[in-house]
Amino acid sequence: MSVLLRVENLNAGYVQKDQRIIAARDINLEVAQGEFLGLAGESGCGKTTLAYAITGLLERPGEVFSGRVEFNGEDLLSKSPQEMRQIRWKEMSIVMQASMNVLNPVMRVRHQFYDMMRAHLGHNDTQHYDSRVLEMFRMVGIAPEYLDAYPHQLSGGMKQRVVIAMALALRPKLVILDEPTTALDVVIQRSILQQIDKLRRELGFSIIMITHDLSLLVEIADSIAVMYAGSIVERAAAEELYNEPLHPYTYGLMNSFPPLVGRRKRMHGIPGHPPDLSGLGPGCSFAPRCPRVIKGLCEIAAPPLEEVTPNRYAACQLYRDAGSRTTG
Amino acid sequence: MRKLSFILSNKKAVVGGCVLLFLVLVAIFAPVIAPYGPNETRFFPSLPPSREHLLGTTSLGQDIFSQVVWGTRLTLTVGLVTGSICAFISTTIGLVAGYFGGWVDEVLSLITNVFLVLPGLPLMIIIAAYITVQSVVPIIVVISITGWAWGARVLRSQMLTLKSRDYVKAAIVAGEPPLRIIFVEILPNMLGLIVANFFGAALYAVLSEAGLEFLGLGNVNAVTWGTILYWAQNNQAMLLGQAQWMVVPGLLIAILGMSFALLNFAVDEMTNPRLRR
Amino acid sequence: MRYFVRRIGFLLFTAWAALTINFILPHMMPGNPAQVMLAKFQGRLSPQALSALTEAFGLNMDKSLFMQYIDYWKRIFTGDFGISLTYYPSRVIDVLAESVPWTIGLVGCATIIAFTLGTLLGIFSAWRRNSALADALVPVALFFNSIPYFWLSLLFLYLFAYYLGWFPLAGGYNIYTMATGFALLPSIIHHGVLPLSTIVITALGGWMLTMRNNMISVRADDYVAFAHAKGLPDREIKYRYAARNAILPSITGFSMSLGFVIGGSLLTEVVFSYPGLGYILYQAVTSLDYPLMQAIFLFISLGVLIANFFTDMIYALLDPRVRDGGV
Ligand SMILES: Nc1ncnc2c1ncn2[C@@H]1O[C@H](COP(=O)(O)OP(=O)(O)OP(=O)(O)O)[C@@H](O)[C@H]1O
Ligand SMILES: [Mg+2]
Repeated sequence: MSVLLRVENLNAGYVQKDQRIIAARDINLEVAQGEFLGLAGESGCGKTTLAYAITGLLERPGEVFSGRVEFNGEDLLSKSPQEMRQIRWKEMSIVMQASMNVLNPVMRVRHQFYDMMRAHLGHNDTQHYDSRVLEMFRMVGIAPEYLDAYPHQLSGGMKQRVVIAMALALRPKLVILDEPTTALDVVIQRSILQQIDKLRRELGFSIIMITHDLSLLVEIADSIAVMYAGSIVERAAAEELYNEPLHPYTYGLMNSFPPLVGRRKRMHGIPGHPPDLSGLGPGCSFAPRCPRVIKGLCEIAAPPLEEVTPNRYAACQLYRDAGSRTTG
Repeated sequence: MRKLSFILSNKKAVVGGCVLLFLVLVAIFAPVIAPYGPNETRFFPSLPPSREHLLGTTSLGQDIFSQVVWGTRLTLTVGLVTGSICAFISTTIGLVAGYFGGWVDEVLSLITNVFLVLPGLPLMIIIAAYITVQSVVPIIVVISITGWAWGARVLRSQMLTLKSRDYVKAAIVAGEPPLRIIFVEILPNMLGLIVANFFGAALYAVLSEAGLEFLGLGNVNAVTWGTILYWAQNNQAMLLGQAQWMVVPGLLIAILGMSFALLNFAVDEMTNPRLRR
Repeated sequence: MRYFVRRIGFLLFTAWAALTINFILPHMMPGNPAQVMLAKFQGRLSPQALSALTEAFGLNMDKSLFMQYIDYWKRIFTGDFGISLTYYPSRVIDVLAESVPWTIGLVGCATIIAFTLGTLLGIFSAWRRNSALADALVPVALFFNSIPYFWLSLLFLYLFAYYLGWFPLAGGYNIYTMATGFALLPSIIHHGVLPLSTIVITALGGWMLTMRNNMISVRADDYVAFAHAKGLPDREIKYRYAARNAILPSITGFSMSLGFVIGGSLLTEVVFSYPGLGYILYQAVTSLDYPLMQAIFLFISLGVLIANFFTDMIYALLDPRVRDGGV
């Protein structure tokens, strides 16, 4: 399968009083056509920042500092805002984290679809619009009569589903879902994700889904990237990651959730708190919380994300050859 | 210290504060600054500006510059006192209505809304016409009656927001007395809004006072910028070529008003994170 | 519908409150102003007029306050506001009928122009925030917002009417012409330009600042960010998403500023001798014409309250959440 999105050495974050807070550090990612990539990590680790950097939505004080984002063979960071606007939604769409509040409160749902379609389809054929919207409504399980509802007349879960429908309406190549289903109960959550997944298989678009919920990703994603304090610390196919997490942080994260199948083990989260991004030291940022920390090494040298076994990447001193450790 | 430098980093606050401070100093040191008494009528009438009479003299032979300097006192007093009274009433009513809710809120909100839509200046004019105004006190009372409602409404809705915060809920559950919660837990978090509201009311007061006095509804013998304008207009200052008699007090009202407006705006900007850049 | 009923209820209640205040005020004042007035007009009025006044102002000691209040309402519903003392022997209602259209025209036009212009400037200055021109608009607006209406009127009067002679010095139309109806329009406009512009200039700043702050707040809202994400054109986001929501608090603020604009326009009318309510209110106040004063306040209050009611209706048209009884 060919690569749809390639992120290389991306650094992005926020400028505060001449100080750069890097919330996404040295990010390297690839998403193949039709792939479902999961992005997991604790709150504040920079998942949303990364998604915004990719979609060109990072606004002041946010900024992309360096790196490259290649989408569909094109360099996105060198595009003008106008060009990005064309790409955004037609080629890639994003369901924002605050999807409860992203609908314009004074506009009917129908017209919020029309706006988007008019901007991208270059025609004004409302009949064609309607059939497309209703198809999406069916897919996310919303009755057609809500087409003319105002956002406040919808429940939180319905709003999220409307936004998901909006994200899929133009059949983009890439859909980024930033915690798309927080307001839904577990059953509906699963059924919607399964429908999205089914559609992905039919139409062949790619998905990046951001969530805290690693267990959900393990079940549904093809591959998973785990973020900690702005960096990706582990990347692997979902199954492998589930069977054998390499990075101690991933391991801890897995144990924070009840297992999908089998007996409920005792949950033991990771003790301690993620670090403040503005004051990161030179060493591995997980070292202070790491149960397997190598004293005298981890605090000094931050390990890069490296291929440990074929197609498995981890950023951890435990998996580095003795030879390369010191150069770090 | 950090608060101070935060305030100083806002240009509008600095300019507004300096202008206000300057005018307060002028008011305090009026006897030193003004060369003559405000009501001395011993000069040649209708003199143009000169070394002795910086702004010329009135048709009654008073020194306009001295009048303007002395006028700062009452004008500022009315603005600041009325602003304080309005801020006090709005804060009390807004906080009580927002905190207690229920029928207390219903009643207070209704009263607030009624005062909000009753036209202020016409009401003031009518009241001022019924009473014979001897001092500025009735003016202050009349402006206060009509000037508090907007602030009360704003503070009430802020109260509703703060009341749903966890620390306030915790205090309520802990059984702290309501007055303590209102004044110790909540009030400090609303100071910005209250201060902004004070400056807004002070601006309203200064403009209303000027309007009333211009219509001759104040005590026309007291020396304020409003009454100076009244006399200037009644003696047709502009037609007599004494433009400065009319222009200067009006400009000063605008400048004082602007310093209140700047401070109001700046405090708003500093306390509302969204307006910060 | 519930909203509509509530607003009607509020309109009726405020109208009742305003009319009652209007009735109570002269009774509450120290020194019995009505008595003073009556003494002043003794001998100048016909006995019938005098007794009507006595009646109207509760100087008839035979009647309880409550009975007087009932009579007051009767007179309101029959449109009987008595005889004006200033414009003796005209009936108050006739004096009002002549001046009300002028004020409505002046204030109405000025408010519409100031609101539209100010709102557009506010949108501009928020959207172009941090550009030199947009940021410079703020202190300018603050300054114009702090200028006393009547003072600016005076300056304009002397500069444009007296020195330059571009506009007439006083009045609402040319009283020396034979023209009537629409033929009077050019003269009315010529007379209206100066009063109108002073009101517009002093009211503009307030609308601009309100809209600017609303707009800046709304810009940070999620639905505006999402509109960007959807790749909508900037113009569309600015007007259909940001401004469309930002204007709602402006409309809420309308009720307060309407009272203020009316107050300002009264002073402006006085300066320009414009034949509206403000001018005759000034005449009434200076000659202690209580019947006229009372009636003018009554009409101004009712006007503001009704305008306010319509604003509420417009708000409901613009905000579906309010229509459904929320917020
Ligand atoms: N506007 C901003 N200015 C400064 N720092 C910011 C800003 N927005 C986010 N940050 C910081 O950037 C870091 C990453 O934020 P981000 O929103 O990307 O986290 P996240 O992983 O999406 O978290 P969550 O799961 O809670 O959504 C956080 O530490 C946050 O404090
Ligand atoms: Mg996030």
